[in-house]
Amino acid sequence: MKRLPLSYLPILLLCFAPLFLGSTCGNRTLDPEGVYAGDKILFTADQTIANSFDTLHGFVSWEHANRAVLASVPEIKESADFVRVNAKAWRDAVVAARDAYASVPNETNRVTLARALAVVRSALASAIAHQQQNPVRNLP
Amino acid sequence: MNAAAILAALNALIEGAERLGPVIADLRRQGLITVEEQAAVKARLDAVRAETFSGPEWDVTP
Repeated sequence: MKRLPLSYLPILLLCFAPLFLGSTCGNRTLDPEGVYAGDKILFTADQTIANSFDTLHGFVSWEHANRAVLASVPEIKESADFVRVNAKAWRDAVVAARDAYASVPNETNRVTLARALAVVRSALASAIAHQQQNPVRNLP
Repeated sequence: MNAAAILAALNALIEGAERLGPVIADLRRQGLITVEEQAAVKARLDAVRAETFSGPEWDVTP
């Protein structure tokens, strides 16, 4: 077969570029066969909910395990107690919003879900800040 | 560009696609959030649903 001159190489690369770009960019897409059926918003919401409540649980456990040492920073217990009092309500609200979006994925439900996630993220930010900024942050 | 060159270019494209096909399929699979990863996230969400917020770490004590 006749060999192509090298001048065709850029054209060939351009032809194949879209095939590679889709798979090598950081923004991964969902396998449509999965339980989320390609719904990236729902997948990301579930990831955020699971990560958030794992972290909040870690925060209250950490405060509980180290309470005596942390007594010099009373705001930490106050913050942990705030999480303890509100965690169930936050969970119920965000899961309800998530389920509503899963049932009817319209703009209204997407916005409601985003707001519920923002509340959880805010609590999470506070918990993380307390764990990272307190003077005894090296506690287990 | 004459017809022969166009044909040669098309042939090269087809040959290239045949050789790169499996590689591209692998790369595409690597770029996907797999069925297993999705199931794991769903299982973690279900664990949050089932969370009872009980246990000493959840007690508000003076």
